[in-house]
Order: sequence, then C-alpha cells, then structure tokens
Amino acid sequence: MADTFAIQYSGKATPIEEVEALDGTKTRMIHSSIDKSIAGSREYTLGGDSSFLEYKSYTTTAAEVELGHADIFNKDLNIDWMMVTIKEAAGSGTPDCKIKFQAYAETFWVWLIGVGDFTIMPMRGMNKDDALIELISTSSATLAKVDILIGEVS
Amino acid sequence: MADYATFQYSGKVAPMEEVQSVDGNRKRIVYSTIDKVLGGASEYQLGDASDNLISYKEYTTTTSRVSLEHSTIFNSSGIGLNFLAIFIKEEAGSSTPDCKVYFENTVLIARLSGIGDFLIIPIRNQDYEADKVQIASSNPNTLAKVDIIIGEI
Repeated sequence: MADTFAIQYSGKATPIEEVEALDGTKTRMIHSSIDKSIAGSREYTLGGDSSFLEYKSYTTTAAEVELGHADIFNKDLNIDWMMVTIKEAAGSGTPDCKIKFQAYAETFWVWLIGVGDFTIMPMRGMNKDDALIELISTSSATLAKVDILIGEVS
Repeated sequence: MADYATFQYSGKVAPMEEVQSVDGNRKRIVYSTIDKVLGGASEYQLGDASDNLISYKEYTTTTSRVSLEHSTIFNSSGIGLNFLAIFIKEEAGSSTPDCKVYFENTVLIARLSGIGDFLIIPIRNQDYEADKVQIASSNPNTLAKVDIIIGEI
C-alpha cells in the first residue's frame, strides 16, 4: 500500500519571433530581445491519503461549475495544486475553458483556448476551497473535454 | 524585422505514489489509481513582434506585494496581460524561496515554493490589468529570484 503521494511536474515557456527574409522565406527563432527559454520542474509531496491526489476527465458546460460539484470531483476539496488541460473538443468550434478563482467575482482570470492548452497552478499551502474555483466554456460550440488534476496536503 | 511574436509553452505532470516492498525498499510509480501522465503544449500568437508584446524580467521578490507594472519589475503602465509565467530560479534568502501571486490586488491565487517551481497561466484575450497582479514572498528568509515572462496582444 502506498504511503506517499506526490506530483512531479515540469514546464517550459519559449518566446518566439518570426522573421521574413527578402525572398519571403519565414524563419522562427527565440525572441531576440529576450534570448532565452525559461523552464522549471518540481515535485510536490502531498498528504499520505490517496484521496489527496484526484484526477477527473470532465466535459465543460456553458454554465459555471465548481470543482467540488457532483459533475466534477463530487467532494469537498482543499486545493494546494491544480492542473487543467484541454484534451479534446466537445463542441463544433475551438474548445475553450475559463477558470475563475473567486466565486463572487465576474472575471475569469484564466482562459485556455484550443486542444493542448493548459495551466499549471501551484497553490502550496493555500488549501483553496473548491467552491472558489469554477470552470466554464464560452458557448455550447466551444465545450471542451479537459483533464483536471488536483493535489491536497490536508 | 520580425513579423510577429508568439509563445510556445508546454508542461507535463505525473501523479506519483511510493510503495514499499516486503524487504523495505521503496519504489515510486505512477499513481496506480490514475494510471496516466498528463501534459499539454500550445502556442499563443500575440501580434507584431516590434510592438514589444513579450516581456521578460529577472526579479528578486520582496516581502511587500509589488505590482508587475512597478518600476522594479516591468516599469510600464497599461500592460494588458494575456499570458503569465513565473519560475523560481534561485533563493535570495536563507531558506526555501517562495513566491505568492495575487490577482485583483487582493486574491491570492498561487504560491510557488522551491527552486524550479513555476506557474503557467494563459489569460487569453483578457487584457488583464497587470497593475492588479502582485507578487511577494512570505518573509525575508524566503525571498526568491524569479523569471517572469508576460505576453500581450
């Protein structure tokens, strides 16, 4: 029986510019004003309870749904780490997924668009209440199948 | 002259469990209940590269919340954020560095801890006001040198 649970994660962001030669050929390169790619990787050790590491494959709706809702994790969560990634379109258009971090606010601060788009949000030690995090797609045409991974430490 | 600027970004996440065999040895495996590794990769085309739509800053946190537009960070006003990534690359205090990220000036939405920790947040099409995004470390011992990269459209 497992006695430790953890999330290993890594990511990279590369600023790119595209330049056009006199003959019209286009070339991509690292953004010359920045001249670097930035990357990170980390492991986050969670609590010893297997319920502290939760995965859900979920199809968004055009209405706001809290992470703890019966259609998603169906439980109370105290979130310390989160990843959401769009893996597939569930409507006729480009899938999107907005994420709100403050239930009473109007603004969705994270907006993923397109298959493969994702966010990685460490919330270490924050114990963020699931009721404060909501997902929604912009319209019925942009519904998305998303993978959601949640980590808790208590 | 560059035609346009874009971000390419990718991430991978593996849920892990550690199991102990009868002889006491421990082994880490992908968490057997989930049995998958998650990942993503995307490109976000911003606009004309000559408009300085991508900005990078190496910054050392303080214990006070500092807006991304502050003179010690991007030193610019009116930044409309559409992409944000922050990576802790080095400690600037005596213990494990951390970096707290606030939106709307008051709402703590993320806390990074340790060298290598990072967040990637697409904020597509939002033109979110960068002066409402603040970062800080928890205390003088946990100050962090961070890489911040932002995109605008």
